[in-house]
Amino acid sequence: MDAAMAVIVVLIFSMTALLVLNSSHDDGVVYLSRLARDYYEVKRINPSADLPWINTSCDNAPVVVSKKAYYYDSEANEVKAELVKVCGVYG
Amino acid sequence: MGDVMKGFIITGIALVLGVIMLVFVNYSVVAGKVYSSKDQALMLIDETYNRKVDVLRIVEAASNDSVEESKSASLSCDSAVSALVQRLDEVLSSPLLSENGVNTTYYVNVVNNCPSSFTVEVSLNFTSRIMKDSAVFSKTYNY
Repeated sequence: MDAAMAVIVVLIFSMTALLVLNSSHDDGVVYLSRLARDYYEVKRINPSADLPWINTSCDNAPVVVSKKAYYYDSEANEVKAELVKVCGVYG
Repeated sequence: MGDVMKGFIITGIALVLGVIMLVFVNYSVVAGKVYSSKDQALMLIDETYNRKVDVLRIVEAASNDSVEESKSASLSCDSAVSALVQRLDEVLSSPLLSENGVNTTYYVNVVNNCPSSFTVEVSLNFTSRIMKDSAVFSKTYNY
């Protein structure tokens, strides 16, 4: 009985903590996902553009989002995918 | 060992396991190892919208490319229409356009006003687990 009570109490604490953490996490992942898209769009128009505010060096970054962008390669006549990876501290 | 002592030991083990689970799950969420269902839904909406933009661009690039090639090869207007439909079929049937949970279907229609011009219309439908979206590409080429 004691053990069961302990598990229930720990679960209640866990769920509360998860809910709090998730509410701040949602925006971060979607924000990074859109940032990855922006990075691809800008680089597509101007490949030499410098975007220092978008971090693509993701060693030990807490949150990393990878996004595929699709384009048409006219020489190969096929659709190709380009993986864009951005990271940040938004968690 | 008495029942009270047993109870304390079992409670202690349960607490330690619970705390380990709490730390692990929270680390996973914060570090982006797992996403909540709300995250996944928002990301899928993003994914569907981005796929739509990509496919419209792909259709336009492939159409322009095909018409330019036909003009360069001095093909007749009717042959250019056939080449365009074939090119769009090849490109739009790429499995890449239906990966990551977004299924893409298409329908190509050409209004043939040869020998002067033709209009290509591509209807696109995007379906994911949580939403449906559609787009239409239409462009007239003078020949």
